[in-house]
Amino acid sequence: MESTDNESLLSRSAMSQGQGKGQPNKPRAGSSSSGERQLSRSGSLIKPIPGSPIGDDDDLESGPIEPDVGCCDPRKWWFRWMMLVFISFLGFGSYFVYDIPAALESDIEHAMNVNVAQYSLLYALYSWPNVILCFFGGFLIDRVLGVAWGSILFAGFVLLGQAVVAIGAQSNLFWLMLAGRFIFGIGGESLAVAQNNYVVRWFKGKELNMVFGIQLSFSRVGSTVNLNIMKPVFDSFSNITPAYSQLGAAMWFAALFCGLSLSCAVILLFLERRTDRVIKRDVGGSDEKVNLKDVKDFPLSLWLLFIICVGYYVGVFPFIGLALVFFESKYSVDSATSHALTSIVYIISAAASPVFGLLVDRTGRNLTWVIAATAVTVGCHVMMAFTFINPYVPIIIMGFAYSVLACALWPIVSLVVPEHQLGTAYGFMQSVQNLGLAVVAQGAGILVNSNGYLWLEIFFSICVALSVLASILLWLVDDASGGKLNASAKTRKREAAEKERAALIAAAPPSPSSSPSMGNRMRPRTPVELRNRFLTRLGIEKPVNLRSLPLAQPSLLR
Amino acid sequence: MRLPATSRSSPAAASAPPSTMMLMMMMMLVLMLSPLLLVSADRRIVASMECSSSLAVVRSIGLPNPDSADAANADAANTMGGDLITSFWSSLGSAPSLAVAYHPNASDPGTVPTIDCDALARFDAAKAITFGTQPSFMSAVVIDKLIEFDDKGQTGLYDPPSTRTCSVLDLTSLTWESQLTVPKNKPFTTTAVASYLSKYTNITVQFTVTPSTFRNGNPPGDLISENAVKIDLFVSNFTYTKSCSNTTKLAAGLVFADGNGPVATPNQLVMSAPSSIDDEYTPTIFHMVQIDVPPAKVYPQSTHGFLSWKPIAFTDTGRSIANGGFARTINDEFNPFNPNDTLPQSVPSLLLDGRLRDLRTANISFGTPEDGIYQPPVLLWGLSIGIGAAPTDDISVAVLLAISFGFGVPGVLLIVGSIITFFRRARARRSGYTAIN
Repeated sequence: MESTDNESLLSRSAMSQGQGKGQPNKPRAGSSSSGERQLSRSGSLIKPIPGSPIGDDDDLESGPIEPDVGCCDPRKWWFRWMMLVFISFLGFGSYFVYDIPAALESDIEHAMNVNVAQYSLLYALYSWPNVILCFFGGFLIDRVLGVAWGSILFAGFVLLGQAVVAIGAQSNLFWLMLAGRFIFGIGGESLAVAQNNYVVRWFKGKELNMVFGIQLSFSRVGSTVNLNIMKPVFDSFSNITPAYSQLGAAMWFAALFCGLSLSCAVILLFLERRTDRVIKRDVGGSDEKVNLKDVKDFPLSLWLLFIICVGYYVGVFPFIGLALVFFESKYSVDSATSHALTSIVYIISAAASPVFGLLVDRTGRNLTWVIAATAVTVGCHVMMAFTFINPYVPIIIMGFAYSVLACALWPIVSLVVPEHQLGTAYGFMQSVQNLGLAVVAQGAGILVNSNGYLWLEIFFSICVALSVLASILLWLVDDASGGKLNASAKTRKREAAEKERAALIAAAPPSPSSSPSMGNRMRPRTPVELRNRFLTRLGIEKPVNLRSLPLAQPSLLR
Repeated sequence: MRLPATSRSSPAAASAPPSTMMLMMMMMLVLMLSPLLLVSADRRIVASMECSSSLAVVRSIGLPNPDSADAANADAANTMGGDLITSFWSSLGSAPSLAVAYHPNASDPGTVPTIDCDALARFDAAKAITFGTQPSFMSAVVIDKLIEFDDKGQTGLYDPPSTRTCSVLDLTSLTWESQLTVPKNKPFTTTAVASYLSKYTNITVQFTVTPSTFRNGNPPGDLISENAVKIDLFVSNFTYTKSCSNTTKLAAGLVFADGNGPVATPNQLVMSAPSSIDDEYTPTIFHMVQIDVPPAKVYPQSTHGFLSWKPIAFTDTGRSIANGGFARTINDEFNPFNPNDTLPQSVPSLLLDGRLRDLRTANISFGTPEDGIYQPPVLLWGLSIGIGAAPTDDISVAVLLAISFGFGVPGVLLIVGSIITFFRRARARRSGYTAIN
């Protein structure tokens, strides 16, 4: 299912054993079409700030171009937050349905007359295909469908899959239920990619980190709601017999949430179209088309992000999945306490992610947060491996660290790759994450049986230490290239303002009454222009890479 | 080497002079290669079957302290410096039982036991087994019954009377066959086996005495130390009482006694559960169950013994964690002291007659709460009884290497990276030039 942020399969598997699943926030896929345009103050079409389909609210609110936009003006700040509501519910059905097998494990086994191994196929058939599928899902969004239609398609798969599951249950055909889970899986993870794309599309340059936190929080809510209401729902259909029909009824109930998600996808499509119409975004497609071969050209920074993602999540989700017995055997706690301990990370992430997201938005320096989160998580594992400190201490700290990482890591992708590759990048990221989680989950079980929890904790510590290593490398690489990924919020804001100003200048129409050079001379000079002029007067030759830019026109340097 | 000693190794190594260090390293090398070289370094074992194979006597003689001058003379091993642990193992007239006696000086001729087979057959405590020099410490253990209980509450614990007892198999009433073996591949390791093989239930109790500490390769992978005797209980095809319940599990009745040490007040024996962060040898097990006799806190200067086990038993010969369950007692304690409890008539009862200091019983339950494993076809469980301190698991070299590599590399990179970044920025500040682009 989705994976949004990252949690992926494994996490889902972990939850399937009793804890809620959680979904991570998902990064979004690309939006777009690259090439969107937005209105300048003067009403002309300008190139948008990368990642922000709409640009800054204030600019848009004052735009005179569309005098009558009705009640839903996409240039208003609240429109963006309304979009967030629909984006959040877009994935709710998927998150809700994913953990139904966990919520109804014994009922499914009884009603369908299957054993535990067969039951576990309900998760396996979802997870393994998504090692590949969500990558292609992201690519489809970038290359063919666009985020809006992609969302509808994948939400449709989610609904179709759950419907097939329900039919399978009602027909007492377990293989049909498995087929339904597979179909559900095709849509679930890719829908998460689309969700991430939407988030970046609407919030990049604004509250992106916080919104990723909100998405993570919402995914937890979906899982938690499912785990708490599905059993009562199943019991409420007790008048339906036989048992598999009762199960089928419960599955149809769950399908309603998938229908809700599909409805949100359709609404988002209309809202996107309205936005395109109002701010005259270019919906004709991007000048730059993503290609599968682009993967090999992904920048080093993105590969390091993949390593951070895989290293961190395989060190957290499989651990949570296996921690029940660990807490019971090492700390001699009872089963209820052990369950409480394993659910703490998810509970904290649900509550703290938006808060930390806001904090990251305010401070910037995403890489610093990532390094801190990964390093602290290593410390938590070390604490649990080599000490008998009360397990609440490391697990609570881990919950906060996980929340920080989820908020700070995923938005970085949008700073590393161009917008037209976002979906592919996020899809690839989730694919490798799913692969890592699927492999490590199985390997971890073998490791515990053969070498015990000490080695398991060491293994997880090293996995997360690997992500620390990659984080540090990313920091060095980024620092050597200007420190864009670890820039403070203030710096980012200033750079965004400069960028926007430059875009405005570049798109300013030439005055009919004067020559182009005259028009350029009349507008205020940017700091770069002033510096270039100063350097030129000193007799210093301007850099080669600036010679062809409008800002370095000979007329400006005179 | 003189006992009581705990594990041999580290503390001495830390303060040993270089030459000694080299010697110890060589000894470690020899230990590692011992399975190939058939060499044992720490103790010498002399085993014999007595009285028509009804009694096995195993004498484990400590070699001289390698730090002492006697070490240079190998012949002095049997006469100088070494201590002596004598194990008496028998199923004569009883369930398989074990008694260990400790003499601090193996060179004393009085440490050799005199055995009167006729008196032994008559259970004449005054004449059956006698020492010229009384042991300074003795302890004994008997596994005297197998209990089938109904684990309806799925606690995995036998807690009468709240737990229903389905059947009790009195092991003292069975006819046992005994055998003492010295495997050729481990010439100095001695095993003795008592078996009860019937049409329905097979029970085997095996005693192992080793001249040097080694780790059992099979789960639970516990240390079998040179100063202890390892006891393994193996039950198969137990005849469960079908009419009682289909949710029954097994428990073993245990009797533990000690004597000849400083006089102790009954009920001072307390089980402890020393924790270890290391479960690499016994996955999921982070504790030992251990009893020190007499209580080390009360009698710190006296000779001590111990009874210990890892709280795990297996319900399949595969011995994997998947079929492992707890081996526990109620409240992790022995049963309360009861003056009416006695050792079953056995070799230990003869040895400790008149010298008994404390005696306690315990019911070891085999099972984990809600594990769903009932009436297992197989049960495997082991414990150790010995002199000195119980062996403990230390973190392995592999773990240390993994930690060093896994955490060291990121740490080094962070430091190096920080230094590089610092100098780069410092240089950029010095130049005062900012790249135009």
